[in-house]
Amino acid sequence: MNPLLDLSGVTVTVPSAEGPRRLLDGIDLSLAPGEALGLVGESGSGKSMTMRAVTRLLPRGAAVSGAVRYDGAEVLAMDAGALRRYRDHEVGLVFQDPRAHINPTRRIGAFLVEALVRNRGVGKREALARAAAVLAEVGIDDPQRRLRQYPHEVSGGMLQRVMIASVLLAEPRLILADEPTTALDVTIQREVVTILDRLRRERGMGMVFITHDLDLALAVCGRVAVMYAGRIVEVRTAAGLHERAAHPYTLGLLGSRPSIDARSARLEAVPGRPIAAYEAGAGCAFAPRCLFAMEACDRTAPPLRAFDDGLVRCSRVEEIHAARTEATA
Amino acid sequence: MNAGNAGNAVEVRGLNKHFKAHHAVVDVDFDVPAGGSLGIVGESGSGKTTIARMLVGLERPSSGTIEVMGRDRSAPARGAKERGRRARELQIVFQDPYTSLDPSQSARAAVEEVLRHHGRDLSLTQELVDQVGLTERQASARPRDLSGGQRQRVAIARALAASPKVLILDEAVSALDVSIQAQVLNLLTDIRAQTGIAYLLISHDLAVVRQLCDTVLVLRRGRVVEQGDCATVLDAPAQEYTRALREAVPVPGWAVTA
Amino acid sequence: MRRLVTWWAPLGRSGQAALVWVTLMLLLALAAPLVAPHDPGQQSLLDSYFGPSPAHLLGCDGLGRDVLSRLLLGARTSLLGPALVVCCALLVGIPLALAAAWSGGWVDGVIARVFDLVYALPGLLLAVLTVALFGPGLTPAVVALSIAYIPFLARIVRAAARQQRVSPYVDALAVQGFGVLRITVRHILRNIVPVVVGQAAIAFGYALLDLASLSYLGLAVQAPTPDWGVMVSDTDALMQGQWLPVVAPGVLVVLTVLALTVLGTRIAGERTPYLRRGRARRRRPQSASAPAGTAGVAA
Repeated sequence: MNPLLDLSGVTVTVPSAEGPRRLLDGIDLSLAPGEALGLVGESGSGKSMTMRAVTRLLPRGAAVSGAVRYDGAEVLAMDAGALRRYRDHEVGLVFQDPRAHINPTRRIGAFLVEALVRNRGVGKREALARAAAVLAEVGIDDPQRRLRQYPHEVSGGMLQRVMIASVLLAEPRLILADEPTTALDVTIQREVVTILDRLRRERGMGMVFITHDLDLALAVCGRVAVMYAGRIVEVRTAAGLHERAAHPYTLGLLGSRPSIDARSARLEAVPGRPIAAYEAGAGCAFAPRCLFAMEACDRTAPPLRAFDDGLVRCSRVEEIHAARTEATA
Repeated sequence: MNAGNAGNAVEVRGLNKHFKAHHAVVDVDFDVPAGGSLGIVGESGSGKTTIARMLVGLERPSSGTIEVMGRDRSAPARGAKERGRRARELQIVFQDPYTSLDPSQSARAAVEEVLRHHGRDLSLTQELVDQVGLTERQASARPRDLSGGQRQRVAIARALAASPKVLILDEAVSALDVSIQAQVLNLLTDIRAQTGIAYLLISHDLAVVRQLCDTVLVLRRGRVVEQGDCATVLDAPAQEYTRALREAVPVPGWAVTA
Repeated sequence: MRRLVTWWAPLGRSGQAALVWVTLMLLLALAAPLVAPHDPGQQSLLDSYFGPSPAHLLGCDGLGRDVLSRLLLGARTSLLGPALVVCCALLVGIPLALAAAWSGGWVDGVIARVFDLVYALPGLLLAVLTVALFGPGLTPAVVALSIAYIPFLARIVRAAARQQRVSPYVDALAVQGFGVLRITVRHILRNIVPVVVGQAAIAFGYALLDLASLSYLGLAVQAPTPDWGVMVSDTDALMQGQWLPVVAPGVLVVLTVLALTVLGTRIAGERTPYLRRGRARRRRPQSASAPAGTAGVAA
């Protein structure tokens, strides 16, 4: 099957006071129709920038190279009209903070129907009926009342559902969700994620789910890509990543999270701090923090290559895997 | 109130806080044993941060008593001497590493200011800087040149400079990247082992509470839902709400089965 | 060297030029008795309205006094007045502003309303009334303007201090047992110094203009004393076709006020890096109440 979204060698450089800064360094990624892919990383890893590259919502002065193909069409080469159609009809964005993305002075109903009425020529009454139906679909009681309320009158969790409803109204084939539940309480997070997952399945939409929380990505997505310093370091099915993570950074992330089931004497913390792509040297970006790094790791950057049913960017992955298997045996 | 159980560093009884008509904290009782570690878990609006602010004297309780190291602090401190004594009993580390440090003070200057204030030896500065794992260069840098994790280490060093018996950690690791969070959690574990300090950890993250605490208190809309031994409460919750919190923690394959 | 670069470069071209001009004026005012070619009070009726010459670079006024010397000595009175106004206004305004910012609540409300009330009074009108009561002179004019400039400075200081007051680092200091005075002076005030300096520079410029206007009207500095405002009022010179004795001090007033305004705006402005605030970065928190910023470029 042709991929819905396919990124190859996407590199983004932005200008700064200290000269151009690379934020993404050769991202290769593909998403099948109806698939849920998790994009996980810490500060500076470039996960949000990847989403911006997909929608071409890049900072002023940014230079992009590589290819972003949506359903076979090159997004980076689209003219203004094609780009608008792509953003309006094909892609739905869900952000971390819905309050920053919904006009606080207009009623929820007006926000929801705006795109339908303006871009699709749907009649106002018809649009409101559709909006009410979608609100019910995202689990909101009494949708008619909600349509007449203002954003400040509802909770953050409710507003995030409104945001999801607005995305659904456009009937996109691709959802990009950037930390959609990070600002929410855990119980609300669960509700929102469950709704997102159910709707995605029912409607066969593809989803890129961006989060700093590896556990959450493993819970929500079928496949997970781990990013570090503007590069993808490991891609694997969620189950595979949980059981057989291979890259030292992924292992570090898994070891860093305390378990809810038992206390460990010490967490297997990764030393140092996460870096951005422009801070990385010529070799493997993770080498300075890696417990397995050797001299060669600092000199040449390893490619992303197949290993154990997944993709891993590490030159020593076989040795590390063998050593770990031996240790646990 | 009985005159302070020697085994408890903090005793809170019948604590209430009203903001006009809103009851933020309702009849809360808990103890933190000397050298112990209590986690207060709750979602937004549970009143957990209000409790912390009342303990350190930034808010005044509407009713109820707070005793720290056997001394009552339900009323505001009178005079510099009493303020200093309370500071040496209980300290706090806040959530946001970007606003909890004076932007014009280096780590070293911040720690020295506190040591001088409490009449402690300035030579302890180096010890504290080493204890929280800051390098020479980081200790002399302004906060704007430090990362979130490094800033949180500075905040911990500044709190420890008063040599408190109890340290409140108000979501102190929540804003940190996962790999940095692990480093700071290990640091906090080490400090407790070395100094015998008691922790009161306020968090929304059950796994962090499990890692750092012996006992836990679950709070919802200002009221205590359940409290007890950490392992018991988290593994076999007696209350529906605790169970819901526990089940809301993401695990692989979770949404599929939901 | 590095420290120099960190405050010089962010001023930008206009700010740097303004700083050079203001410094030059201050130096000339200080050194006026040494560099002035003539005694500014020395009259010579033979030289009345004499044009520029090697002996008198900017010519002479109606009483044959050297215009350049009068400009230089005039800088002293013209700059001393506004300096006194700004100092007095700061001396009263800063403590009030800090008290309001620290207390919040009704104390803040009362102080803020008083500031608003005084702010609504035009400074010049207040000065004219004072002069009407106490007679013309620099002292009554300075006192009146000082009062008028208190809210101009204090409102900005209060807002900046309030921003610091609600930062968790202030709570942390309070929990350490530090007293109010120490926290406000050693921490809050220290962190808003750029705001104070910038706003003071702007106030200096406006006060300079106000005092020059009053002197022009003969209400502040009195005639024989050299002063830019007094010099501009020499309309006889224009009648005689001599514009330099009038225009030169006018140009100095305009340029100095402009330089001070530019400099103040550059120092206190929103876009300058002098303000020591915590870097606004994306937070990754959990409570729905915490405003989660949108992703920054580097995030």
